[in-house]
Amino acid sequence: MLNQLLLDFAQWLDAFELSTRLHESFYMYNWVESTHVIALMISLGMLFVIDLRMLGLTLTNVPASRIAARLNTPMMIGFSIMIITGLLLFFAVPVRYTQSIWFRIKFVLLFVAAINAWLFHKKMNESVATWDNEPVAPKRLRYAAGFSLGLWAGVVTTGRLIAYDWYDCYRVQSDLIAWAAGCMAE
Amino acid sequence: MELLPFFEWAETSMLGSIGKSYGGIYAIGQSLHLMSLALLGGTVLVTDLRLLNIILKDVPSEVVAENAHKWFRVALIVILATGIFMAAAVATRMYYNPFYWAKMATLVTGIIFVFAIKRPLLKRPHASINPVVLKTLAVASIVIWFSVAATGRWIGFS
Repeated sequence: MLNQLLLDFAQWLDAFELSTRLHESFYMYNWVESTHVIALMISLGMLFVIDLRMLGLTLTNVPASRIAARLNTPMMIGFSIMIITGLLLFFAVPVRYTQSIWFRIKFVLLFVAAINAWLFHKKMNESVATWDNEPVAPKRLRYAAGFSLGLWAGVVTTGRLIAYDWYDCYRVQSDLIAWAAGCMAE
Repeated sequence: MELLPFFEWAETSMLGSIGKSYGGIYAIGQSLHLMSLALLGGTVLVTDLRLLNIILKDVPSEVVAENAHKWFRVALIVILATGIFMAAAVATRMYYNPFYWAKMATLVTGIIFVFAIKRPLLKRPHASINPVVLKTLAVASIVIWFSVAATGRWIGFS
């Protein structure tokens, strides 16, 4: 049911002439992909610095809340560019991505990463007054920072793996993978 | 100097063979390359945006530059290690790929820029450096490292 809905949506996007033109445009498609990678440098770069500060691995002599607050704007600018270019990349190849197991795992990891980031900010703002000048954040926040690094490593890895067709529907032998990828059409 | 034999040898070396034979390991190498690129981007941008007085204005730029450089080195080492691994598996194709050489040129420029110009300069008290020089340094640094990333991505397109 859900897979059918997703596939219908993907096929509807795929029917747009602009989708085909973007997919087939050598320069446009590749520049969108390059911008996606450059946005990754900005957004994940800032996130890594914030997480490393929470773990007590960099800028320990600067209050943690200051690092988080000051790097938030460039990080969000990077994320915005990443989301826009990511949506464009999806728009260019919607049917294949909808049925890509890597794309699906990436989407779940992104969702978990967003919840983790929201909880992290909430917990940090509640407690920051008591430990702001400490070189290391409290244990719970350290776990959240470590979890964030792990999640984003997963997002990058699954994102990179989308390019490989090892588990594309036309090659899949396993029922489990075919189910997880939502294979319905080639 | 003829470089092609070196590239042909690299492809048949153990490193090249591993990357060629095991797609999963190669993909993990690519992912590590991207993650270290992100870390490198973060350390470069934190320093350069601070030098441009855009972020962390209430933290001394010396503190930001010093801390960021330590992780820049870590990121650079991982980038170089995973980059060599990735290139070895497809070395002959790399030899004929113009973007590979463009990326190597920007990367070498970046490394020389950091270790011969940026770092020696930023080790001095920043107040003693002409603000125009600091800002030019920051803009040049952003342009160079973004070019490294962009030319790197284009290797895969050509």
